[in-house]
Amino acid sequence: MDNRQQFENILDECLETLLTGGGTMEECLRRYPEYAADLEPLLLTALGVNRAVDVKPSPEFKTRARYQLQLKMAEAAAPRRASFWSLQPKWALATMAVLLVFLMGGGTVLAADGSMPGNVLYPVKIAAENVSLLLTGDEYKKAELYSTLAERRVDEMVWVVENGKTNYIEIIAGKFERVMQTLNGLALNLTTEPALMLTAGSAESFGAAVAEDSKAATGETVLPPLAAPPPTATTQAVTSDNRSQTTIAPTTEAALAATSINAAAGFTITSADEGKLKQYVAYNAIKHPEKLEKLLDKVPDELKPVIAQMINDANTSNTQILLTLDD
Amino acid sequence: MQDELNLVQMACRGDKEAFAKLYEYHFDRIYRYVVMKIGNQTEAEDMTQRVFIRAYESIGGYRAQGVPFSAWLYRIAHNQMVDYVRKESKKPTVPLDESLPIPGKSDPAHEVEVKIELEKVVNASKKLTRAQQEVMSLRFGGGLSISEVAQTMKKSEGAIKALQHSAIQALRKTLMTGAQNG
Repeated sequence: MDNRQQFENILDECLETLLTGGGTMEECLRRYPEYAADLEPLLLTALGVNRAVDVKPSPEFKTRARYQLQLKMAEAAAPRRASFWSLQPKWALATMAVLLVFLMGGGTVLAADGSMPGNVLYPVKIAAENVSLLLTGDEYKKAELYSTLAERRVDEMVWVVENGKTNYIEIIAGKFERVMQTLNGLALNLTTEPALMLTAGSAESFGAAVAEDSKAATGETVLPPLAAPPPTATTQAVTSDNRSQTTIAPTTEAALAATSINAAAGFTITSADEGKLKQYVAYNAIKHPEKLEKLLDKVPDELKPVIAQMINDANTSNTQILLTLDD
Repeated sequence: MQDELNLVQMACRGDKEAFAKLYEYHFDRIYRYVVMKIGNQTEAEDMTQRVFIRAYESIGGYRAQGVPFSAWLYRIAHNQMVDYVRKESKKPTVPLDESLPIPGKSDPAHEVEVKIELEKVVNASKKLTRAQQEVMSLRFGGGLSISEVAQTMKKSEGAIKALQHSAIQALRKTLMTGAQNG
């Protein structure tokens, strides 16, 4: 260890002692007399900084903030209907997914891909999206899927506005917001953790977002929401330098079903790396606001704030995700 | 505080009380971290609130392996901040917020003194590199240990200690120069 490193260690040790009230400056300087002359001015500066930033939020603000959070919690706790699907084990879901393709016909699912809110096949499109999310274990791929879903919700918004289906505007905006929130959370996890592991917690959160997204957008009967799969016994950790490797080994049925459904649902996810994800998000960051801004003049005044909020969500969330991935 | 890991696990499963405890424990520290970064009380309040709402929305996806909850939380705060700075840079320059936060003391002389100190620190910090700023905000604003700062910034502890040293040196130089000129 060179002198500089040694000094940095001593400086930090003294700082830690002073900041935690474990001793005085005099004691520190006595302990390291050979460094005392250099240490003292730095410790004085650090203590001055610490004193200056020792500010507290006002009680009024804390009360207000606590109230806002409680509102958010109450909103999130709104009862969700437990579905038949959410009770099924992964192999059963995978089998049903395959059946969905074969019984309805891959063509039906593919046809549903282009359907819009209010169309008979729209619920099939949403169900196919859910199955794709459910069966995608790799988190980069999952994030890519969510960015594709965001794109779809924007296109649906353009369609409903241009076709005068204004009763769907708020529903689509809500779906878009939830997709972006989930994508934000995924990006954060991908860049924060040194090891990628699919856990029950994360799976449940995805399931919740998916379930939320599956609510009847049209007031018509739709296929019920799907829960995310439990972790498999073959879950393995990978280092942050090796993120593109598979993080979870799906069952054979699940893998087959994922391939079928992804293809049938029109997803073309071919790579799971960060660069690809950044490209999707960077594209969305430009295109989403661009497409949505054109709608502002086409909607009734009372719905303009909904579009404006969606533009804001698109701007803020896509930028946040890019910043997260850039870190 | 009850074992943080335990609380985080409970919060991940949707336990609101557990999240509320984490919120209470980290709220003031996140606020100080934000204030030290932007020096604007109104924005700092809004941003602190947004950090926790986003944390609540995302906590279901948090996984504890190797990364403390605080590192995750400060990462959210950092991202909010970068976004804020990006937006601010597009606006015309405005003077430093006159309503900088002050401690709950009733002595006006003390309030002015501390307010000036904070202003000085916030302004002097702007002359640091981004990495130095982040270390100082996490260490002194957030009250994190070197190890926690290292995990949050995904750097080695040695690198953080070096940044801390150079940041304090640079701050001292700026503050001393300011004092001589002022």
